[in-house]
Amino acid sequence: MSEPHVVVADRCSKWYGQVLGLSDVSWTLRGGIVGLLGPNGAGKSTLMKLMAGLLRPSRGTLTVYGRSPFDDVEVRRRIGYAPEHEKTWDELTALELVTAMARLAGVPAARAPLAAEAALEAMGMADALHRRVRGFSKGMRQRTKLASAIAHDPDFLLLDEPLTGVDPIARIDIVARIRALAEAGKTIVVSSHVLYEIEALTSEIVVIYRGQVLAEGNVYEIRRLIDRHPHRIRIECDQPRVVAAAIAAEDHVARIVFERQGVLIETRDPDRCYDQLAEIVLAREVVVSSLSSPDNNLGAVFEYLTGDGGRR
Amino acid sequence: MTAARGPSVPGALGAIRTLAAVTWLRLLRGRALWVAILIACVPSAYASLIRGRGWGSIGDELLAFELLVTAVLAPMFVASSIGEDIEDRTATYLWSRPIPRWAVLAGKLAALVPLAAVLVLGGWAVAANIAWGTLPALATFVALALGVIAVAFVATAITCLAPRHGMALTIVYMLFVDHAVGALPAKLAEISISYQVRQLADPATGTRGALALVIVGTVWSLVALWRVRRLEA
Repeated sequence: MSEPHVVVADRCSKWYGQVLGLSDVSWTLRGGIVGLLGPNGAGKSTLMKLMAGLLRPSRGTLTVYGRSPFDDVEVRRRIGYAPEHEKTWDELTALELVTAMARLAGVPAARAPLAAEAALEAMGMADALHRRVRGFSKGMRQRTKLASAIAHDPDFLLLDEPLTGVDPIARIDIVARIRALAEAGKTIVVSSHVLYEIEALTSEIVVIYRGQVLAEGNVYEIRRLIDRHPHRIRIECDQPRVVAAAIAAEDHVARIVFERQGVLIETRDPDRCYDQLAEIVLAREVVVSSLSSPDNNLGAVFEYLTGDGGRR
Repeated sequence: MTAARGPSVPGALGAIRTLAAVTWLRLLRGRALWVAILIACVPSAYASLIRGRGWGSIGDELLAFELLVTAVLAPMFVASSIGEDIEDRTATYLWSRPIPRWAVLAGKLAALVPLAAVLVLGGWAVAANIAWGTLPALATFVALALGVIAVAFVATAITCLAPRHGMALTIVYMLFVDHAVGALPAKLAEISISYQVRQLADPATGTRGALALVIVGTVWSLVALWRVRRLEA
C-alpha cells in the first residue's frame, strides 16, 4: 500500500475566539521542499502549528501521513518543528537542549547525545556545543532550533521563519543546510514573509493571505505577478540627483521621489533596477550609505494580487 | 546528519525522566531555588522567636506557619515552571514531540514535588528542633508531605487554566480560600487541604485526612489533565 500524502488539509479552518487564523484551506503536500509565503498575520504560523499538532482545526480536517497530529502521538515522531519564536530553555547548553529534545522525540538515551551533537554540527554549531543558549545571537538560536528539529531524523520538517533576524552570511549558510536536508529526502515546509528568502530555498510556493491559500505553484509565476506591482527602492547616497538622472529614462521606472538623504525609486522591474543602480554607482563613483526596500512587508503586494486593495 | 532511529515513540517513563532531569538542571542554574531555600528557612526564624514554650502551646502555631510556607513554595516551583513554558511558548517544543501531554506535567511534578517536599519537611524539622529541642511526630511529616503533593496538584490545575497568573492565583487560593474554608465549622472544611493536613498531623484524629488529601489531589489533577489536553500553543 502506498504511503499517504504528507499533508492533506480538507476545508480546514482555525479560529482564535472571534479571530480567523485559517479559512477553509484545502491543500495537499506530496513531498519536496515547499515555501509558505505571506505577510505577517496571514496564517502561515497557524498552518504550521496545525501541521505540528499544536493546534486542532476548528472545522475541517488536517492530517499528516494520514493521521491527526494533534491527537496522534505517534505521527509526531515523524515531524520536526522549529517554531517562529526565539524563546527556549536558556539555562541549558546547546548540547543539553538538543539532547533533551532528541530524547523526547524517541532517540534512545545512549544515542541521544551523539544525535544532538551531529545535528548541531550539521547546523554549524560545532564550536558552541557547550555554551549556554542564554548568550546566543539570533542566528545561533535559529541554528539551535533547527538542530532541535532534525536531531531525531524526522521525515517531515516544519521550519517557521527560520531566517528571521539572521545576518546575511549566516542566511546563506542556513539556506544551504536546509537545501541539503531536502536533498537528503526530507519533506520540508518553510515559511517566510520575504519572497527572496523563499526563492533561495525552493521554487514551489504556497501563497497565504488572510487565512486563505491564494496561489500555489511555481515561484516564478508569482514573482512575475509581484514584479508587475511597483516596487520601491530607497538609496541613500552623496549624489542622489546623479543617480536619479541616470535611471529616470528607464522604462521600468514609474516614479522618483527625492528624500532628505537620498532618492526613492518606484520600479516595475526590481531586478533590472538593482542591476542598473549597481552600474550607475560604480560608473559615477557614488558613495552609497544604504540601499533598502520599504516593500519588505508583502502586505501591499498581496493586496495588489487579490485585486481588492485589501477590502475583503 | 542522520541520527540512529530509536523506537517509534519514547516511553512515557523515559519522557518523564528526561523532563525531570531538564527541570532540575534549569532550576539549579536559576535563582528560584535560592529564593525557595530562604522561604523554607522562615519558620526556623519564627521558631527561634517562640522557643521555650511547650509543644502544646506552639505546636499548632508552628504547623500553621509551615502550612503557609507550603502554600507558597509548592506553587512557586510548580506553577512557575509550567506557566513559564506555556507563556513563553517553549511548550511548543514539548507538545510537538511524540509524547502525551500528561507526561510533560508528570515530568515537571516528578522533579519539583520532591524538592518542595524536602524544603518544607527540612524546614519543619529544623524549626521544630529550634522551638523545643526535638523532632516533631512522624505524623506531622507525613501530613506535610501529602499537603505538598496536594498543593502541587492545585498549582498544576490552576496554571493550566490560567498560565500567566498560575503562581499568584494558587497562592491566593491557598492562603485565602483554602485556609478560610478549612476554618469553617462545617463539612465544607473537608475539602480544604490545610484542614486535612492539620487533621492528619494530629494523632488523635486518625488517618482519615490522608484519604481526603488523596481525593482532593486527584480532583485537581483531573482538572489539570482535562485542561492540558485542550490547550493550544
